Parts: sequence; C-alpha cells; structure tokens
Amino acid sequence: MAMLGFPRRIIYNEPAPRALAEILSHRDSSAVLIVTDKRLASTKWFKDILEALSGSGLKYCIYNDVEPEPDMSIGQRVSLAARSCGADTIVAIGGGSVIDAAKAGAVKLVNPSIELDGIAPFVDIGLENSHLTLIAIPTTSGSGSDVSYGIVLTRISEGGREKVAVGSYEVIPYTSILDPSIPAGMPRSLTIATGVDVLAHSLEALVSTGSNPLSDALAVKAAELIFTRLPKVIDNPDDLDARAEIHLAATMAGMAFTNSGLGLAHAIAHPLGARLRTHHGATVGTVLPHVVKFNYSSDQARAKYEYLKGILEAVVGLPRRETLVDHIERLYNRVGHPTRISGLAKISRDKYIEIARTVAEEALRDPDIAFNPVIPSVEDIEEILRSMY
Amino acid sequence: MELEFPSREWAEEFCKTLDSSERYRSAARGWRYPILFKVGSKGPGFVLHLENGRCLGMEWLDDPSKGDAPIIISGDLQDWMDVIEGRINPLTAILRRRLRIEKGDISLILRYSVAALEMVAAAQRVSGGRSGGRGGG
Ligand SMILES: [Fe+2]
Repeated sequence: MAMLGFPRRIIYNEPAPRALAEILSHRDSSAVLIVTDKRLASTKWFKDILEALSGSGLKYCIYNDVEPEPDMSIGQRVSLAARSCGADTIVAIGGGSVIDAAKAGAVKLVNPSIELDGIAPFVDIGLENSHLTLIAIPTTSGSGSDVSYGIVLTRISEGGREKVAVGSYEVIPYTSILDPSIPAGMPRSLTIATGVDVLAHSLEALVSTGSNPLSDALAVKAAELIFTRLPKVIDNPDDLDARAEIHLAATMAGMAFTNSGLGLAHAIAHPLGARLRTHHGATVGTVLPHVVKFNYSSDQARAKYEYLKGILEAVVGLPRRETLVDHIERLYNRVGHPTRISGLAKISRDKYIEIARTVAEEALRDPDIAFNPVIPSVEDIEEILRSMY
Repeated sequence: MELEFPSREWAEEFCKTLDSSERYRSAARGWRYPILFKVGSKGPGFVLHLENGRCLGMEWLDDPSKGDAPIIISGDLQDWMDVIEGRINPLTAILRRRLRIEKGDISLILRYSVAALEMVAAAQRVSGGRSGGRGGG
C-alpha cells in the first residue's frame, strides 16, 4: 500500500506573473503574502510579478527576510507577517529555503500552538481544512520543495547548528508555477550543484524501499532529463528549452521522493555538508555515485539502476558503460562536478579521515537512511566516506 | 527457530536475538528507553528493556493496559505481521499510522531508524521467516 500526495496544479513553461495572476483570479483571495529573500526581491522579474498582482487589483504584502537555511523561528515570523497582512494566500518565491520558510509560516498561521519539529505525516495540522492557499514559484531547479511534503529548518542550540527535516502531506503547495526564465539566471556553479541534487533525488527515490510504480516513472524520467539536458545548459546557458526541462525535472524528482523516499546519499550529505560547509546539492551530488555503488549489492536496487542504464543507452543513445556509476561519473566529468571530496572541499586527507567516523555516526541517525535499499552499518558508512576522498 | 508471534516464547527469544545481534547493538548505541509493544486493542503486549544496543529483559503482559514504558507502539496483528514479514518498512508503517506511537517522541524514533530495521531483521530470524540482515524492508 502507498499513500501518494501531489499539488493540485503545476503550471509549466509559462511566465510567472501571468500564471500567478491567473491562479489567484480563481481563488477569491483577499490578500497575498509574498515570502522571498532580499536579493530576489530586487530583481526585474520580481517587480513584474508585483505589477501583475496590482493589475489584478490584489492586495499584497512582502516578507523578504528569509535567510539561507532559516532557523525554527522563521515559521513564527512569516505567520506574524501573514496575520498583519490579513493574508489568506502565501506565495513563496525562491529556492528551497524560501519555500520551506513559507510552509513553516503557513503551518504556524493555521496552528499557532504546534511545534514545527513535532510535525509528522500522521499529525493533523489543520492546513488542509483551512482556507489558506500556498503557492510556490521555485527560482532554482533543485530542491523540489515546491511539490514536496518536507520542511527543512535549522535548529540552533548551544551544541551548534543542526538540520531538522519534518514532513506532512498537508504542506504540499496547492500550486507550483514553473517559469524557466527565472532559474535561467542561476550562475553556472549553482546550475550544476542543483542539477546533481535533482539527480540524487531521482536515483534515491528510484531505489528507496518506499518506491512504487508511480514514483518510479517520475524518478526515471527526471534522471534521464538531467543526464541529457544538464550538459546542454552548461554548454549553452541560454538554451531555454533545456532549462525548462531541467526545471520540470527538479519538480518531478520532488514528487518522486515525496512519494517514495530518499536514502543514504542524503543521510551522509547532511552531516558531511555541515562539517565541510559545502552546498547541499554539490555535497549530495559528490556522495551519490559512491552510494549507488554500495547499493548495487541489493538485487532490487541493481535491477532499477540497470533499467535506467538501459534507457540511457538504448533510448537516449549514450555510449555503453559497465554500470550506472560510470554514467554518473561521465556526466560529472562532462559538466565539471567533482566525483571525490578532494575536489569538493578544501580539506586535507588526514583532517577528512579524522571526521569520517563522526559523520558516519551522524548519518546513521539521519531519518533519510530508513528507506535506503541496503541497511548500512556505521562501519559501512565510514568505509564509503573513506573511499571517496 | 520458529515461534509464533505474539507469544511469551517469541518475545523472550526476540529479546535474546536482539541482545546477541552485533548489527543491532551498533545501530542502537545510545538508545536507553524501554518500549511497550501492543498487539490489537486488547493485547497481549510486552515490554523490552532496551539499553545501549542491548536487550536486558522482557516483561510479558496479557493485559498491556496494565503496563507502561516511555515508548508505546501499538498495531493490529496483521500490521505487526506485515512489518515482521518484511511487507512494509517499520518506519513507513509508523508514518502511515498502521503502527501507532501511543507514547514517545517520533523524532527520536526516526533517529534510530536503522536500529528499527535491525529489530525487524532479528524478528524475522525468530519467526523463521526471511533470513533478515541486509536489505530488509
Ligand atoms: Fe537534496
């Protein structure tokens, strides 16, 4: 049995200002809170969105104080802004951090007493029974948060910073608006880092123990799009058709892992990225081929990797390779993404080996590990970490 | 070994099997909370005294409403069987409310998901089902 969750609508390849005004015209909205960050709020297309809202006679307010990797207090702050605006619609315009901040704000708005770290799929939040509408306009092609049931926040305590990931089907946005002209402005390094994150979402969802035929379909196609379109946008950043498909692939992979699960690559990348202070997508991308190699020992995972490999070779026409790992490494070489830690972060081998045990222990405590097709021991994880320097 | 779930013998053997599992011990390092497992609305149930990767004892309860523990997990017999026989991942069963956390902190349990998977592998060995270990779920 499986429970699956999706947004009500996805608007693809349409200018965001027009798409948003159109969606809101059917929603009887009294006021809109836009959640974003300061940099995005200063862009030209952001002003176009505001103009479209004014043109439709909609009242809006802006909360632009979302910082990268926001802490737990963001829910309270966004909900206060929504309340003082009288908003019954929250529109998140940004990457994963902004969309997660908007989700947290929506939860706190309808249920002020709930603790954000107590959210779980079986806890009734009351969001679905409220009149609040959540809309996401992703500005990067990576997190999949525009269609996912997850909220990732940072808990700051005396012990340091710790990522807290919670999930509920109720926080899946009502609508996701995919305007590829927005992520087209991403710098090359971010295009690569978010692109390999999408690949990791696809491949982890594909072999997760929570996978099902529906999540498989989304995962396989999303992975195929990354393999074929990412080299294209790296060669030609203005290739809007390829951008559009990568933007869609990010959303498809988000739907895939929401309805399946993630796995060991994310479980390792969370503590590893925190130690190395490296970008989430870049970190998980580098860890990914090593985890795929490890998971090949599961018959179920191997069959699915080989299925995708077959599509890449027989349908897409990529040259034959021994395993899917070789295809991933070939892609990374082609777009310029490191396959090893030494290429990802400035850290000596000795220092890295020193932290490997702690990272392995933290990875073992990461909830994403629960759905990996092979249950690793802490020694297995440490071995994977050591072998990928 | 082939014992029937749920029974006192099964629960005793489960505790012994957990206690001798290297993989469970390593995955459950730091865990120090007894768990009350309840089968159906009327029972039976049993408490496992789990501490730092060890299972120090089992307490059988014909009427589990008379027992208590920091963590209480309940489910219908069929749902427990689905977990033990590997038809559903234990974490998925919890997240979909087929197994209910009547008491305890879900985020704590999620942090010990590998230990939960190793518990299922051990349960499979007790029931004589799939020889668990790697790749369970
Ligand atoms: Fe990711």
